[in-house]
Amino acid sequence: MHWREHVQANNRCVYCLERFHEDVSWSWLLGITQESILCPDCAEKLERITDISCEMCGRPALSKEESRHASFKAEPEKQCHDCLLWKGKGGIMPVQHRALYTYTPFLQEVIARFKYRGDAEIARLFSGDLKKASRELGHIDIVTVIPLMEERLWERGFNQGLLLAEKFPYVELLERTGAAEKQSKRHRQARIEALDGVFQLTEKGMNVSYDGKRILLIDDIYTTGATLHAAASVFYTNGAKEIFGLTVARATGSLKKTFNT
Amino acid sequence: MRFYVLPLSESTLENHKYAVYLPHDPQGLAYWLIPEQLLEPMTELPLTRLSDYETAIANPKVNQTFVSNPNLEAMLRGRRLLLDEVTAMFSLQEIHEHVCHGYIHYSAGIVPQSRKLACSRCGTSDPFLLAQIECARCNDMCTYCRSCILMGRVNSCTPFLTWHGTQQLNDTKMPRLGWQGELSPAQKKAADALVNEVNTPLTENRSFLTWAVCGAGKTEMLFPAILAGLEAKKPVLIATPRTDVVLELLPRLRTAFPNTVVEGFYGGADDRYAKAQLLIATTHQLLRYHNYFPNVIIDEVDAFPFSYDEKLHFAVKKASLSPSLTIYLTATPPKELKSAAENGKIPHVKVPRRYHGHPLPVPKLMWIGNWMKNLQRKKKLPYHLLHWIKQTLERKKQVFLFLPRIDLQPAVVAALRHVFPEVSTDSVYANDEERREKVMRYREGKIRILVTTTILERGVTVKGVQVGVLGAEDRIFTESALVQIAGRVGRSADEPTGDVIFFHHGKTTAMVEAIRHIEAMNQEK
Repeated sequence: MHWREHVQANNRCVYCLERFHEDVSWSWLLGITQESILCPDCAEKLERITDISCEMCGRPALSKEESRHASFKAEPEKQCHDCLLWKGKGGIMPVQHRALYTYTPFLQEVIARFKYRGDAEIARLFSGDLKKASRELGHIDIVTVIPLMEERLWERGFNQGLLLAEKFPYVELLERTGAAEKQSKRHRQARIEALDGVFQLTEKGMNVSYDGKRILLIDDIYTTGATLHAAASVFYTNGAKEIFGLTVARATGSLKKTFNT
Repeated sequence: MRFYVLPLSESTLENHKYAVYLPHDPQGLAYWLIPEQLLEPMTELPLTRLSDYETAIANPKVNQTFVSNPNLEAMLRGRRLLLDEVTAMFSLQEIHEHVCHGYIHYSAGIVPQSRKLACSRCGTSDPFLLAQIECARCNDMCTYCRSCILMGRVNSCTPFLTWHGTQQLNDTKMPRLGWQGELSPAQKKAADALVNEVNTPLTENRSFLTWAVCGAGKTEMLFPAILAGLEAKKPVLIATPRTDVVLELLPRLRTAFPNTVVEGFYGGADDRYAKAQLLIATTHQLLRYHNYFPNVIIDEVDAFPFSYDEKLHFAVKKASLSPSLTIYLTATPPKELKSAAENGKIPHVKVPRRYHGHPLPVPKLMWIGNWMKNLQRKKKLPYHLLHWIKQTLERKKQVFLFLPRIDLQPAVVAALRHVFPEVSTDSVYANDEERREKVMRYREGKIRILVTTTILERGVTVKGVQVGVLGAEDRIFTESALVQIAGRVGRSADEPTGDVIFFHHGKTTAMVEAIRHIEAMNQEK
């Protein structure tokens, strides 16, 4: 065996489960770089969002002219058509959102295995980066997640949001009010309407003060933003100052529902 | 999920009509087992997971007076399914009622195995593949298997179900052979040996090797043995490494056995719980079966990727009845099997002739120098290769060109299109979305030159095709791969001969062995 192969780190990919080698660099020897948990083949298929066109919802930029850096903004200026629609819709308060990746067919497979097949380990792939992405927000008072319905929780055995938020000192504050269908089976208008008043504060959540607080919501996929807005409105009504959303995937068009249970 | 394990001495029994008797407790106590969802939401009861219950659960005897649900039986007989798979179609209440009457047994999903944990469906015990979650079903840390998760998650707390009512096929129709063809003498000899194996009563596990050359007509020589198994009212399993084979065999077997329910199980199959008497499945799909098949045929045993070996053995062992008969079927037996057969450890039969009686075409060697360098630097293909392709095309034959690596395909195709601009040339690889269409167009003769990697070394039968292997010295071309590749040529009775040329930059042992293998088969009687 070549000496390099002995030194090369031998990892296993958290998604495809195959072994892979990582080239050794000085920073690895010094322990500065993080060990990757995704093999180069899988990592290559993820599309990190680095440029956005809307400073509010974080829509990925399609052309160079409209492109801005994907960090959170203190005062988001450039806003897309959808965000202006939200704004127009009877005083809905803004939610500045960023996603780590574009919801590509590959990421759709990854998230399907994570969420629907219940492969909880995959959360490790995103939880660290979500935490990193939140750093530029400055001080956040509360981190919380979107709740699941009882039935779904039983089916999956876990709430995917909680796993994604595992690097944060999160608290569970919300619960679902009634029987809403799976969001993934709805279209835009139906999604927005269906979520009116689906969330409420849990008993524990009612004992927390939200006055003037900055709150961060963690979820897996951002499609129309309806879920985040519905959750945010609960906190805004209770006096929250600013609400942010951070998700793993940003849907940009219609993806085929290829998944079958 | 959890169960309430209730000591029999408690007087609250009448509240629990869905209780299962557990007589073998270390303390000699008897217990009742009730799924948590069926408990009346009353008091706080202590709940246990099946995997935490250390004693083996002794289930009640089958109650003959109980009327079981035939649909539930059809789904579960021969299989071992996750509770979730079954509750998707039947209520837990109905399932548990069958448990109470001895028709269904519960068993744990993750089990301890020599101081480690293992998935009881796929056998994985690699700690990397057994992950932990804080499970909302049992409110505890739960281990789950990542290896077979695409078939539904197996975790510590979710039980498996098995059927323990009748196991026999109780079908009214007598199986019959709808195939009209005639077996060649060599095929007949193998078929008789196989029938004899199937008809010999089993006292212990037995294996049998059928070593038949490519194009010997393997499927047809299986028919009599399959019929013998079905006539004895026993289910027959054909395990294969590839979905392609399932799809190819399914219609042929359905025509051959018109009175039998023949089903194929592969990744994308419509009904994975369909009832079947004769079954063709990929390794993965076998994992849903449990202790069921007395007769198992493993097709192309050498085609399973090396790393799959263990998995295949686990899956086959799990699906087959104890004791059972395993029939291996291959043109290129792996080393261990070959020597076991030659030393008389495994009974075997050789079929050295193709069904049409003609000898196998023997590969020729052609040295082409450093072809890789010329291809990469000058984008040129070796003269000898181009000359052979030109001659082949002039004879109105199709070319099947094998490459060692997928990343060379574009360069080779571009070079060929440059030299033969009039000829339709295409390439196909394992994950090619148009794989099926391309092979179809090649079969129809619309594509004249098809460039491929080793994925098409088996199963693809195109009349009158001529084969070249570019870079036959590559490690990927093992003896068995080369024998299989050579086996693509001369399969039709109308055109029993043809070219097989290994274009190489240095002769390898694999190449020599492959030629020796083919010559030896041609000399056998």
